[in-house]
Amino acid sequence: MAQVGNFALILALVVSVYSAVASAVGAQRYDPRLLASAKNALLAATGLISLSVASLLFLLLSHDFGAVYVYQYTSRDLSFPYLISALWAGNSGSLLFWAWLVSLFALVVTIQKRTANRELLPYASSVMMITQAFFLILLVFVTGPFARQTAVPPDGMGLNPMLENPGMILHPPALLAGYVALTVPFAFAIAALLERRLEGWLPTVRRWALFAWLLLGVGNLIGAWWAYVELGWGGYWAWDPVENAGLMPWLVATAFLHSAMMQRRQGMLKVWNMSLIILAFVLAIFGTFLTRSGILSSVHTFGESSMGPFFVVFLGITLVGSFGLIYRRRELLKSETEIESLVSRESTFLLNNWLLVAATFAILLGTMFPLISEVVWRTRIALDASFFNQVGVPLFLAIILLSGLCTLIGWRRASPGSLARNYVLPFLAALVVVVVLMVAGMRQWYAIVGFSILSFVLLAILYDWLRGTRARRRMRRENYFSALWGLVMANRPRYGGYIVHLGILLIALGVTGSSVFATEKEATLKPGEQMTINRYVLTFNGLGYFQTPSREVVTASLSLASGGRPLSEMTAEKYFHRTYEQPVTEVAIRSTPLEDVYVILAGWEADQTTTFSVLVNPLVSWIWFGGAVLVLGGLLAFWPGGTPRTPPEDAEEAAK
Amino acid sequence: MKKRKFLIAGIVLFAAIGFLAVMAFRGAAMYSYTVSELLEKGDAVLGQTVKASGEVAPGSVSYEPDNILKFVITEGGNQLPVVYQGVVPDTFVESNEVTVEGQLDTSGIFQARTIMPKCASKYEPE
Amino acid sequence: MTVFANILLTGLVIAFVLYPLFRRQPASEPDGRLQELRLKQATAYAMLNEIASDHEAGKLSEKDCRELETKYRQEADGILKEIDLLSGGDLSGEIEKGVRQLRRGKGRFCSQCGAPVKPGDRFCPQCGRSLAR
Repeated sequence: MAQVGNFALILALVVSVYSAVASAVGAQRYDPRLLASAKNALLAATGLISLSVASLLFLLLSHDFGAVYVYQYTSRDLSFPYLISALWAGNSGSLLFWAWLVSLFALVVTIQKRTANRELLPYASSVMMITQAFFLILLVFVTGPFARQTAVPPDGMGLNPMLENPGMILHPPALLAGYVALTVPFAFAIAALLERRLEGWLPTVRRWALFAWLLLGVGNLIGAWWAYVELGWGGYWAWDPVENAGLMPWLVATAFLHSAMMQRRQGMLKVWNMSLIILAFVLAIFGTFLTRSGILSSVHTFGESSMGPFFVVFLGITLVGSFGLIYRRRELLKSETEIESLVSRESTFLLNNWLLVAATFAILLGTMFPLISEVVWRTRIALDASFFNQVGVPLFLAIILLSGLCTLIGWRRASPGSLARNYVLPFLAALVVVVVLMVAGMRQWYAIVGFSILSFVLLAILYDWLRGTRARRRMRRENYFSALWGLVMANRPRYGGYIVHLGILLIALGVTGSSVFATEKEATLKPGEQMTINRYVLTFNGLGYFQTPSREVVTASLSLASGGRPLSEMTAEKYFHRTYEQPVTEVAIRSTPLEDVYVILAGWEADQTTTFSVLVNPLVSWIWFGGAVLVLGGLLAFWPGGTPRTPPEDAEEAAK
Repeated sequence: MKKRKFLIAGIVLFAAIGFLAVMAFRGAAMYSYTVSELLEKGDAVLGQTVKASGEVAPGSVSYEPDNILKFVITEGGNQLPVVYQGVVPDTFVESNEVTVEGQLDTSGIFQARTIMPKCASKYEPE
Repeated sequence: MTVFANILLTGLVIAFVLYPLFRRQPASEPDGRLQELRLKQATAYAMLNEIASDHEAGKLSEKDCRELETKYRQEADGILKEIDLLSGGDLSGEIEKGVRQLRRGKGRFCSQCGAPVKPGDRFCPQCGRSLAR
């Protein structure tokens, strides 16, 4: 089985290279037979990589510990879902997964019924096949998932117990699929440049970009949730390079989705859009590279890694090649129109784009700084989370504020009168929030500014919906509910976008609350003793101990009360896995919309004296709720159809 | 004319972001050494908050009362004793790589404020 | 055994990949320029809708609204003319089909170009003509 899997990879590599060359040559010579052959090669590559994935799955499920990969990442007691997740838990497995996803997406793109931009397909599939070939080269020459060892151990080393969490089943594939989906818009962008057809490619890739954006968003959110419930340090985002690697392409994809609207409507920002989609793709590859090459621990580990140089070469070719191509096509990429006024929806979009890209570069700089300083000054200078917070928070607040300003501003130009009329209500709401918070005794100005911006944007969105609903109700004589429903359904991408904005607001609410107002307290208690934190009283009831076939578990039970009223029983645990030395902390969380009480079992002594670390994190659950809203809005915008195709009312009629 | 307006807006914006980054940099920058580099610097780093990274020496970890953790990190044949008080992250295991943040005291012991073991979700580099 | 499987796999893949090279020329693909124009047309109509809803919602002044509408309507008309030019007689078939459907009493049709119109539409999805009742 293993030999077949490995051989399928080699064959897939040959076939992908053939397909890439054949479709490029076929497109150049207008040779339909060669193109058909290239298409078959693409289908064959998908089949071969799938075969390879299937045989790795077979090895995993049949506990064939003669295979090094199976030995390193699984054990006999691992349950079925985690055996599947072992497919992407390790380095080479995840690369195989990458290649498999590229081939699947390429397959979908190829067999999709396409009315427009058919002539872009050969070049686009050629680009996708080159990307696929790159990953196959890594799998064939550098790190094979099918390597075998001569001695067959009776059991494997097992999956790292921290990865045994439902979040970890979904997080890596979502993030990886998001990375890979960015290949499709990138491929079409390059094809459009090569074919000199620079007008129609955007609508074709909008949904792929949105798909990638959605997956990256989901992946990052699940990752944050996993860190919160599983890593046991009380937070959800640490600006770790691995997290940043997932966030950066998401930010650029966000910018692209917005600026693509500008090009579609008014033919502006063509070079900018091309650059964004190239950047998003490069960041996706770069993210894959960051997390595997060991480059972040030191330049020296990078020198020892065998995979790093491959990535550097691929990234270099991609960057130089695509920006060189943009330069050669610069005449064709001229804007058709210019922005008419500084006060218009266009300029808020543009500004928002700049801020998103600036935030991405700031994060990139911060992530790479230890490396840059090591190369330039021969000393590693690390930046801690405060750098990212200080740069990121103002930028993200500004971006959110702009999303509110943009909602109530018309395309092209806005008259001062209508602006004043539109903004007065949200502005007053923001002012009221500031006053109420100040009166309530809040003095953390970051939070005050944050909350007032959030309420401004919330009101702006709701106000826009209200007016849209009203106008529709007047015109169609519907009731409020069906008018609202009709409004949303008539332009799903637009209102899906607004729902996404609402989701972002909720996430921002949670982030602001939990980062400004979190309280942490450590206490060492004997059974029966109490500790207080904010308005809560925690009583330690005692330690417990039990065993399962694979783990030994120590539990600490506590009673949570507030104002003399018992609220809930909490159990914080620490367990030791049979095959893994490292302990795993299971935190106890009591979550309410207002705040989470988060208890970490830190340590204990023989006489049951136990140390806890307790946090009160306000508003955290809004992050997860906002994430769900964001996904809902994204899906609404992603669902096929829903864009108005009929032109509206004549001007004379509208005036009546 | 309009172009110039946008140009000015862009320049102002990027200047502001640059300023923000520089300000943030001052508070956040910290020298990061391996154990051998840190010991090489010797007295020069006394009292400075720095990062040091190496491998947790097998058999050196001892948990003591009051939540105090003592261990030794090694790198390139050099050793650095570390003292830390607080919650120990799960991923802190012997032989795993760890980065500690804190100060070296005059007796040659590293007083760690935080310990950051290598994250479990990362892939092993090859 | 494995060797045999690998040889079989290679043979199958080679046959599958190379076989289109020895077939007859497949039929030609439809004109890309026409599709591109259709997309531009849809975009222009989407813009018109946007302007109308912005105006309804009070985000655009009366004057701006008219000015922009004229501009986009001109653009849409230009695209439509070009589409007509490119597609030549192709439309006649669609019109015939439309007339047949109309006789059978299914739905309404645009008085200008004959494209089928859904009951809720106030404008023709094909040419943009107002379908004022």
